Amino acid sequence: MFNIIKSLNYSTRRDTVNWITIITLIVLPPFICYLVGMLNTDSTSVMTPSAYFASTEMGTVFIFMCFGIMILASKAMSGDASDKTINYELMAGHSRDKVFAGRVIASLLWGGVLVFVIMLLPLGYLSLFNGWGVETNMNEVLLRSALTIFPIMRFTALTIMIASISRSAGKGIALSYALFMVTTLIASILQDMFEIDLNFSFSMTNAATLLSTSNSRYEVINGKTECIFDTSVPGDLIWKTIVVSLVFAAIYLTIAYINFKKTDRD
Amino acid sequence: MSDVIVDVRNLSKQYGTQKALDDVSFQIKKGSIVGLIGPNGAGKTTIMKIMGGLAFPTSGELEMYGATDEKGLNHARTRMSFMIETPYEKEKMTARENLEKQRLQKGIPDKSRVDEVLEIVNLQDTGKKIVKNFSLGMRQRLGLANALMGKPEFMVLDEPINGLDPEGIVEIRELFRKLNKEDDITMVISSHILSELSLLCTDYIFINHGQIKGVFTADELRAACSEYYHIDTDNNEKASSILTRECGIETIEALEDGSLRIYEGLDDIHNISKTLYDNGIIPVELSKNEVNLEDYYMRMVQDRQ
Repeated sequence: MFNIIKSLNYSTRRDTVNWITIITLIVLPPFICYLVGMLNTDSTSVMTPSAYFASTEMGTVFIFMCFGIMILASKAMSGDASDKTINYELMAGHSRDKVFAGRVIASLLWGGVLVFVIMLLPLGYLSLFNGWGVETNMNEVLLRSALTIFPIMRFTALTIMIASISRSAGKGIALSYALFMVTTLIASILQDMFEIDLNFSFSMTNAATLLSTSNSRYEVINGKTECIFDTSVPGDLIWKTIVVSLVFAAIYLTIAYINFKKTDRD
Repeated sequence: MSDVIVDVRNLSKQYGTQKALDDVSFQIKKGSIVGLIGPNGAGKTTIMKIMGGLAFPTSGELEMYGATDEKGLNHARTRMSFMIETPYEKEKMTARENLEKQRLQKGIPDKSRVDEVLEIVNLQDTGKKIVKNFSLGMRQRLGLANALMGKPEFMVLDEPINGLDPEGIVEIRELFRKLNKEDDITMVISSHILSELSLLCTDYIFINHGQIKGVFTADELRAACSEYYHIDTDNNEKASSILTRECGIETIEALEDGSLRIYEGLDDIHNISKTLYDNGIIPVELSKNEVNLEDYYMRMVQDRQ
């Protein structure tokens, strides 16, 4: 299994599309912040991680990060299925279990963990340059941000399932994108029109719940009136995020595994 | 200790309503070069895919290196290599990168093995050229290099000389001979270029419509291919029925021009000639000829459809 991961890492590192995707994901958050700052000419505040989180731009960034997950995870899982080079792994004597597990791990690392790290990068470099800020509580924001690894893994698992069953990175990306848009639309309609609570129904609504703030109040800090946001993390938000994400991820990966194990390769 | 490496027993494979393999049985012995011969869609690639673990049989059993269970078959495959259909390659990577990727997934520790196999197949000078820009022959060579990477004991090759120029065909044929003689590598090779197979193979398996039509050693095939009588008369249809009824000759091939070929009773031609004449048939031509492999293959495939 580790040989399969090594081999996948070797080809993934040499794929130009992957590097374009990664660089785009890294550049995206500061670009979005710059765009928001440019549009909001009344704002004179410095962009701190606190302000960045409070502005809910992190939620916007998450949506774009999902496209990165679709590309990186689909390519890791099924890039070798498109050109059938995955067949060499089966013909070399690796069991289907190990081939599947190796690819899932590589996809979760490239599509899930890497994107998670990139998503959190702005908190790091903004903090280095401008300090944390006063709008939010650092520990609470970090906890919320850290918890997004679960909906990210859930979404990555969904992409893995689609890519694996479709046996094509391209189809995996296209179908994941289509599903993403459809579920975003459905979630929006259900929440706006029917006021249904969808906090944990979809990975993007779960992430949106984690990355957004609800209540705020004004406080005078160092002679300046600041808007302070409530970023406390309710206990049920933590365990529900973890449980629901893990359960759905397990369902998606089980479906993908059964399909991979039982069907002929072309 | 048995020298049978592969034992296929009553193997069948069905895709929907179509039977790709129908109760196929054969054995492959260590050290042999087996030619797997059949037209397109005969079932050759299906057999290879089942051996390679890419497809599951509908029924029947596959035994390789004494193993029949999934774990054992996977272990057996570590001693084998496969080149099935058009070689699978990463088009945007170079030859070296493709082989390096396979070296990693196979867990081959020796990095110099990549250069070794590139040299064996004469692709050592491709440099930074990506596979997308390779000719068909170069892609075939890369596929062969891949198959040689793990120093296999058994190679399963689907039309390995497809796309090669005449020089390349000779080169690869000599390579296969060398691998078989010096390294005792067993091979199963499918090809449409029957004349090439006849220069290489020790055994032959004929397959059509998913069924085995015949299994021969090279000596048996040489004997079967050797001779026939070409008969042309003033009434070939009547001659055919007389030969069957009175001389007991069952295998009579009618050619397009109406003339006949018989492969039996070759030592009794005088009796055959007399029987025809006694029944009012005048032989116009009666000649002894040799069958080559293509002729024998065509006859076998057509007769036994």
